[in-house]
Amino acid sequence: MKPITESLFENNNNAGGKIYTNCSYAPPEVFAAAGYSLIRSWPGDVSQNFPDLLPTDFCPYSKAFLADNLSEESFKIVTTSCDAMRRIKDILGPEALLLEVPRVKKNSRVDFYYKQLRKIIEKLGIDPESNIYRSNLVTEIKKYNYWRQQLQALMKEIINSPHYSIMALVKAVFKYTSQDFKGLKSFIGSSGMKPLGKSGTGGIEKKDELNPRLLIISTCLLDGSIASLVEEIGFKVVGLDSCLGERSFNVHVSEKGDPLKSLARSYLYKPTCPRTMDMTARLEEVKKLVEDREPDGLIYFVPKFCDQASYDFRLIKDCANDYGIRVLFLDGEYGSGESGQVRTRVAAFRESFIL
Amino acid sequence: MGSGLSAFFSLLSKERKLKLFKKGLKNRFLYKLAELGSRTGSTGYMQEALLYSIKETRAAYLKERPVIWCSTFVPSELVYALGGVPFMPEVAAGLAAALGVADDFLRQAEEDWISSDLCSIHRCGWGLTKAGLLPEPDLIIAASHLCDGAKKYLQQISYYKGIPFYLLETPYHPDDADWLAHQIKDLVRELGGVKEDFETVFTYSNRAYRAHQRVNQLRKKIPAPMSGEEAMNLVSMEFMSSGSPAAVNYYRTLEKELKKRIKEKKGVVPREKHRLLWLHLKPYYRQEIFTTLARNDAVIAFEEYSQLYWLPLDSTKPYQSLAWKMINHFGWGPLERQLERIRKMVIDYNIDGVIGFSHWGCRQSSGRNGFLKKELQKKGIPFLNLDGDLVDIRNYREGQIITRLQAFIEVLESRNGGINYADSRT
Repeated sequence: MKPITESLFENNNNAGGKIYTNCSYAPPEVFAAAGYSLIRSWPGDVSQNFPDLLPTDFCPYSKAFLADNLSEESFKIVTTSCDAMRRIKDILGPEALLLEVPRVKKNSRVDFYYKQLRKIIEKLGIDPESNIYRSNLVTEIKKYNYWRQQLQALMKEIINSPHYSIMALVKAVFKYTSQDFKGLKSFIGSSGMKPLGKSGTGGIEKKDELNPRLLIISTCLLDGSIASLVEEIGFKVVGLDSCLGERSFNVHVSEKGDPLKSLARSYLYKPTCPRTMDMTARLEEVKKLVEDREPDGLIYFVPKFCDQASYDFRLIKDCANDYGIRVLFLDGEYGSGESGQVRTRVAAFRESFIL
Repeated sequence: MGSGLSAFFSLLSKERKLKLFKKGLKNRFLYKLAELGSRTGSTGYMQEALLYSIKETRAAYLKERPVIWCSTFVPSELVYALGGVPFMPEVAAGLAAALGVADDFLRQAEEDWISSDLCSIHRCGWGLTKAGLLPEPDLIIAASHLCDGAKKYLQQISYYKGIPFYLLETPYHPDDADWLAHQIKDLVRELGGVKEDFETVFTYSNRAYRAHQRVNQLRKKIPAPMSGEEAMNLVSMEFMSSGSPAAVNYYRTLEKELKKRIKEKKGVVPREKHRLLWLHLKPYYRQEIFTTLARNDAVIAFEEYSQLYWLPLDSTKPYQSLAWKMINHFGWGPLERQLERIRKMVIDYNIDGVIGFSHWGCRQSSGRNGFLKKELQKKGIPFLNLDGDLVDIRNYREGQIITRLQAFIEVLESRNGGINYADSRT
């Protein structure tokens, strides 16, 4: 393994090839240490349909993941994120390995998750106890911790300066989750941080009615179209609580003790996703986001037919309203941000801040 | 007297009816009256099912025992061992649909931001809860199988009511059974231990299991002595009664009834030409599916939900036994496993075709029908993927469904090569 500093900026060695996954609960470090690149699928921008295989009332992300991976030769890691993804795993067949991820943050559940990660490593033909794998894993944890801190710093800069677009973060998350560290390095280091579009440049440091601060909450945001639309309409996005956002990098894996156990604990205890059945933790995190970021408004986006996100909305809305924050509920498919109806609703929501 | 009563009821406002109904659910005398009515007005297994339902409903509303709400795939034996009354809002939602009163509760859910994209069983359960029509729970236990919606909406209810919520996480693979056994053990310890020993509860469960086994054996007879519709109307006995003496009585009387029908060569439909297997459950409001099938000499000879998917329970290893029952559920685990079981039922029950009911909002079941259809058709088994809704009649398109059923019957007719199976089988 190359010295840590040099390998930080190298893409994974890919000796084992690429593996595609649907979920941020599949830790890329586990696969990088085995020589694989774990790529999170952010499939295209058009909704897919499989009339012979899947019903109409089915999550757009899972259908797009199927479309992206049906003919893909390589391994897939499908987590038990939801019923829809379980059926996608069935359709993809034996090349798709199922990673069972618990839904409750408890020690007994960390042990189970650790055991499932071990099973997956063994299925890739690697001995998780081997010294070479364990030392690789320690190196990979350091590497990913480094990049997650970079993304957290990028997010802080975007929040604190009216000039930087949230789309910089979306692009950075795309690069991070596709293991493109060379690209991420040049993107973060360079002018990747484009200033907000014309209609949004009026923002200044302190709160400004012209540029209300907005929190976006979702399960998987599907694509960047909602984020870019709200900016274009004139919001300053100060939080992206989605796995196409902060839930992918608000993780720090302890670099002490058994590396795989540390990974299992840190990932299971990362910011709560609606699939995690811990409503109390979920609301605590939303409160913290609201208190830290001081948004004026909140947009809650549900990928059409997503049970998890749909059921959480009611309590999150009540929580936001308790802080006097206005909430807009949106649901949709890929490219929702480009639909005229959504644009009209977001514009009306924006105007409600001026009145 | 009946028409007088309904005339009186029709004069009342919705709020008044709701108020009266809630009062009635807590009136001990009315339960006595209902029991008397069941003893005089029904017989056999139907009477057993009614008596059980009345007894447990009274126990729940009059708080004779702790009321434990659970999702339908939490083993009722666990609830009986905890000394509780198993109450399943999903069953109540089916009953509301059968009584034709589900619409108001579905609308209440939508007003509370519970989208119509979601499963109507859970939406209706939420609406019934908000209307205060369900017995107050002391705690809620949900299993992570079979579906996301059940555990999420029960969690929302526990949050809304401020009562404890326990999630039993069912692993996908049998080799992780111990993990689930530990969860069940921890749960029982946290709730102060069992109140009814496992040996007693499992003895009732295993007796009912054996009687149920004999019933399933009798249902292989041609012509079919019991229809799937009839069995699915009483699926609540499957979900809730296991582990109680009532389940033993129910399956034993059902066994007697089926033996009688077989002896008298009484089939469900006069001329049984097409024997069908039904997957998932059925719409619980009034509809024409089964009368259409009967008119076309077709019968649901067996249904997925009547499978005995677990082994008799072992009280020397209670937690492992319950864990195995949960993990082995027919709707859980890889689809290959479900496919194997379906193929076996096709053979065992001499099935001509399979109907997979795609209930709106049920990702796990409607998401499998395309896969099952493809695989079963490779084996020459016709499969009809029937879209619909178990509780929300607004998602039921009768014309479309009847047309699809008739087209499916034509496929079966052509497949039989015009041979009149009915005559060749009886």
